[in-house]
Amino acid sequence: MTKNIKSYIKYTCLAAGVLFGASSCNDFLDRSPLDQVTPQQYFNTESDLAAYAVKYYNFSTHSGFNIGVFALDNHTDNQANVGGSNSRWVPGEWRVGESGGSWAFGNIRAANYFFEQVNPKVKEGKISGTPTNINHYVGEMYFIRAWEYFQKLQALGDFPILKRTLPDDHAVLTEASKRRPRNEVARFILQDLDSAIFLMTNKPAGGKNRLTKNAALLLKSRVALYEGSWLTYHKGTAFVPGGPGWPGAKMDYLKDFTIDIDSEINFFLDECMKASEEVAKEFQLTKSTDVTNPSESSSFNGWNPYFDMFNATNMEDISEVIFWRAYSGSQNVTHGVSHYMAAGGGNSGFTRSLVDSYLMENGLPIYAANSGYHGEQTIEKVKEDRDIRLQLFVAAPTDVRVWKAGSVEPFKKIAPAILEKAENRCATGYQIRKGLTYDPAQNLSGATQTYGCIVFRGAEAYLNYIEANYIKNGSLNGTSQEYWRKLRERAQIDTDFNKTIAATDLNKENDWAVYSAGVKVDATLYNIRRERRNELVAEGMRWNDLRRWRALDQVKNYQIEGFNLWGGSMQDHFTDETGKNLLIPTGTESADQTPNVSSPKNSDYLRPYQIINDNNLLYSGYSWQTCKYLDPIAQNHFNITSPTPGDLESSVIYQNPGWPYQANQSGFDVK
Amino acid sequence: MLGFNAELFQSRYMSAQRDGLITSNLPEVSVGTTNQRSSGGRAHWSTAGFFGRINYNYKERYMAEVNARYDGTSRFVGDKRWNIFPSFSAGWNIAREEFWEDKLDYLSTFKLRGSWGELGNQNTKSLYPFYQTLPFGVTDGSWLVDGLKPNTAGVPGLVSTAMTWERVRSWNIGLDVAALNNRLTASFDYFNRKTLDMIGPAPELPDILGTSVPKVNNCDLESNGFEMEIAWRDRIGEVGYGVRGVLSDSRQKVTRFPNATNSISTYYAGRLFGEIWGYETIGIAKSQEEMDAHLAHTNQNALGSNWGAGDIMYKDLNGDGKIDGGAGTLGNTGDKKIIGNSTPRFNFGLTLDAQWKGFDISLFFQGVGKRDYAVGGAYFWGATGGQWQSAGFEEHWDFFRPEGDPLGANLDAYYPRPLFSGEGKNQQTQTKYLQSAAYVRLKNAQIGYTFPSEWMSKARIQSLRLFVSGDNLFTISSMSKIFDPEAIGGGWGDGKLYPLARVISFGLNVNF
Repeated sequence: MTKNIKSYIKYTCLAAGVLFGASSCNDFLDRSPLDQVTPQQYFNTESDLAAYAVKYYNFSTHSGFNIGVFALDNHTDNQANVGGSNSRWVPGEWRVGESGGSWAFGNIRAANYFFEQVNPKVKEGKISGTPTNINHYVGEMYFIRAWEYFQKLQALGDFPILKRTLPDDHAVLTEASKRRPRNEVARFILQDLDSAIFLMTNKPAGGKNRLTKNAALLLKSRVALYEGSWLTYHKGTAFVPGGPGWPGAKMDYLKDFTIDIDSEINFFLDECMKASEEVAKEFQLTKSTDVTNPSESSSFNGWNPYFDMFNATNMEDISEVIFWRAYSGSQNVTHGVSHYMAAGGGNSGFTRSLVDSYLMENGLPIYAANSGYHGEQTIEKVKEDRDIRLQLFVAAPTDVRVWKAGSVEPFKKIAPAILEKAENRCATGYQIRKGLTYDPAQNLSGATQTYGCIVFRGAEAYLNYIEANYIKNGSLNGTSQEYWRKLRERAQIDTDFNKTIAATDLNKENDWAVYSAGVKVDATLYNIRRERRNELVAEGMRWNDLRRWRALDQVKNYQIEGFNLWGGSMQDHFTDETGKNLLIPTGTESADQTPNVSSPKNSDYLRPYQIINDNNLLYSGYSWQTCKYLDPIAQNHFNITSPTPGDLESSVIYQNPGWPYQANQSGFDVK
Repeated sequence: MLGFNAELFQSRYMSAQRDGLITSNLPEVSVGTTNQRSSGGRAHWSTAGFFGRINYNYKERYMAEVNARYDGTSRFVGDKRWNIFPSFSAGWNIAREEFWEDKLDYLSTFKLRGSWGELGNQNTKSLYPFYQTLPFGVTDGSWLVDGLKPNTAGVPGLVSTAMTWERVRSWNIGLDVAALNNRLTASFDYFNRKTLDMIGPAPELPDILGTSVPKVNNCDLESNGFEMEIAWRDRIGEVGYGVRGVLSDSRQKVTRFPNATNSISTYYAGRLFGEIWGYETIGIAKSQEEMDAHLAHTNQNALGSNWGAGDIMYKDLNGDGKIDGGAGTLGNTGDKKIIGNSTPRFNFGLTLDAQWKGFDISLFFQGVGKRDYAVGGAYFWGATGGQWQSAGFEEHWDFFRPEGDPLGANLDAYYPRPLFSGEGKNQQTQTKYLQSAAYVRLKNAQIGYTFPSEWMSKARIQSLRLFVSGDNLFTISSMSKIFDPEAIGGGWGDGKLYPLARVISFGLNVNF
């Protein structure tokens, strides 16, 4: 009947169509977009590829009303903020999510879509532009896929390897959700980076604001070290494929999986060394002087190029910078790093553990006999004759906060800013100065600063090389020794690292990285880790370093401590105009005043998480649970891939070690 | 009657803009000096339809109508584009039957009505939902290249070519009555409406898809309801008066939806619109001991930690010794249950009016007979998420304070103890904080006086009326006074919208 009506209608329609000047109703109803681009019309020129790639630059950089990337090391033994992290440091407080989390594929799909559209066109020569540029942008997408996968590797370990876009078909998607062992994932990342290295140039339009071949080499060095060291230190646990209790073992689709873990480790460490060396030879370390503050007669910059490196408006010509993000007032892309640093602590602060790990200029640890350490009477004393990095990047009251032509203003007025409101407070008393600017042109009110943000820099390649070399060979080759001396030379400490190693007493080091798997490592390896900690401080590397080193097993009721508040003369800094002391230690509170610092009865050092006891799960310190070496996967991902709804464990996806499948449940220690 | 209609919508826009006028006396684009911008675009869509209608009317006594439409739209493609939609209706006015004639004074209208029909609905805002388009932006990237925002382009989402018309199939029966010399009028309608092949939420798929699942016509919805209206108008001596009441109600139920996991966070077959899932509250623990005694048999760890005096004790409905939402799937919802429904039920209105000599008065009440609402956010809870997202209203003062608190103990508080972090454990959707949003409101009241026309005609004025009118004069509701039951939601969270104002106005109507 419908058919009859249709044909009848057709005639009527034709008649009506004549009136309308259209040939048929369906033509009249065929309406395609007039001002939108369909995929078939895109990806025809090199600039199309460039526009697509830059959309997926997904890197941690400064943004908004805070101190930017310099806060990323919060919740480690390096740095602490005011609130603390219950989920990370209180057993049971990190719970399995209901949905979302790192099990997400949006940017991976974007990269795979790009390859499906662009690679055939490149092969057929259908994209206009110079081959160098076309290849470069394709290379950028390989870099981006590698970068996305590296985030997954760090968070979740085993992960599906996906090289194409998938249709919205439940069966296909379930099949594709099967996880692959983490070493295969890491190898897949290195392959992508090899493609990127092969395709990319070091001189793209946009310079070092765009990804380059060198950036790909650095990422390769980072990924390879990550996986090589992970497998080394987690070997023999459920956290490595094939290890005892590895959850992948119970999956039918992984029953044929085998691994020769030692050769895998060697492979990754080798790859790391090769890539690191290529980067290190291209990027000379930015020099440091022994000047630690601008003076009234100097310019706001130029007094120490190493300090300037972290607050330069244009980082293009800085030898050590590999990849950076630019900001601009006229383009409305700004950040608030210096506003919050100059205001006090920007809701962060270095720990005593970190500060104590810096060597004396003579290369000795502070506790060593004849080290020349000046004690902890004041922060100035703590910094005296130490590694230049400590002197530059930790602010003392006499350090310069704001520079104006002809005058300088020290931090004195506010330092240490342990009593400010939370967003300006320094939680520990050791304020951060890495990334502070003295440029009077940078408007310091709110988030209006426009200097750049480093994403990758050369020093990391030096450090990666040394570490990979030592894990692999148990000794340092000539290249490693040279790299290490260069790093120490810049830090203005005695370049003889053997002197440091000989003077190191691991029992006196208050540093989690003394340990792997709850056992102390040797003094050389520890000093390699110390170098990394001191060089890359406040650059967001610490958390993942600690996880790959398996350096958290021993953390139990660990108290985060800041500066020496009660044992020296610092307590006298905190007075109002009338001379009244503003400190209210725990235990002296009353109805109208809550405590604002920790009690001298517990420690001379400020303990940011021992100030208020009520509702404070961190009061008794940080304690680790081994399941947290990897993130949990959220419940919903099991549910939707299970053959029987509600039976989460029948899913093709398996949970990470020590985590339950059900949402809102806590993890447990993995033995 | 037969007919054909076709509509074509076309739009086109262009704009040019510059800031920084050299002089504000010359407001022209060419006088601007900075920030030059321009934009433009085009869009179009069309529909076409054939229709036919047959009417039958016998002496206003028997009425019947048959309609059919055959509609097409540019928003759907291929065999999804065209659809046929028939409808029928019939009526019988018993009062027009010959045997009724002598009763006409008592009952002038007594009409039974009925209809059945299907209508098409294109439930998509997109003009071209079946076209995959690639999102691109001009100088909108936040990663500066060479100091400037670059152009960007992104991966297109999935689209479905299967999207088609929703068919709204409904039937109703009705009755119109006019009686007692038309002093009493009433009408009553009962309807049943099925939305077939409705475009519902996208089906859930494994996240490895990497993009959102396109919406398709994947569910059926059924709603039932009634509307009634009764009015009385009469005069006693010199007083004229009237009463008019309306009442309506409807409920919607999902009857089909592909919910592979039986998740309760989306549609499922049998779901009533507005269902609220939540926990059952035992109460606020008055002391640490009371909380500890509760925790001894009911583990509340999945909701939070650090349970103490002033925190909520939840009821372990499934008796497994712990409080949680289970797998969040039908049959495994842990300790959650349906605790209410946010659909406004029994919406009513009542108008009263009277006139005497030149005076007139009218009152209009409106309200909702039944409605639950789980209010959230800072306005309801007070302390949420730290200093930037908390509120302190008078009602929030009623929070839990233990014995010895410097502010005075408040053990029988309405609110739990205020927390700036981890407060979510006490702010779960739960029976204790479920609000009744039923209300009656005097929406409008008016008193007026019209001056006698004899007086006015001397002043060459046709009519002159003075009045006082008030809007939103009072409300009866058991809902928290922080919220207006007529306006609860809001784009930024519950209660965060411009409030309804109480308006009192004086007026004068003059006609010449």
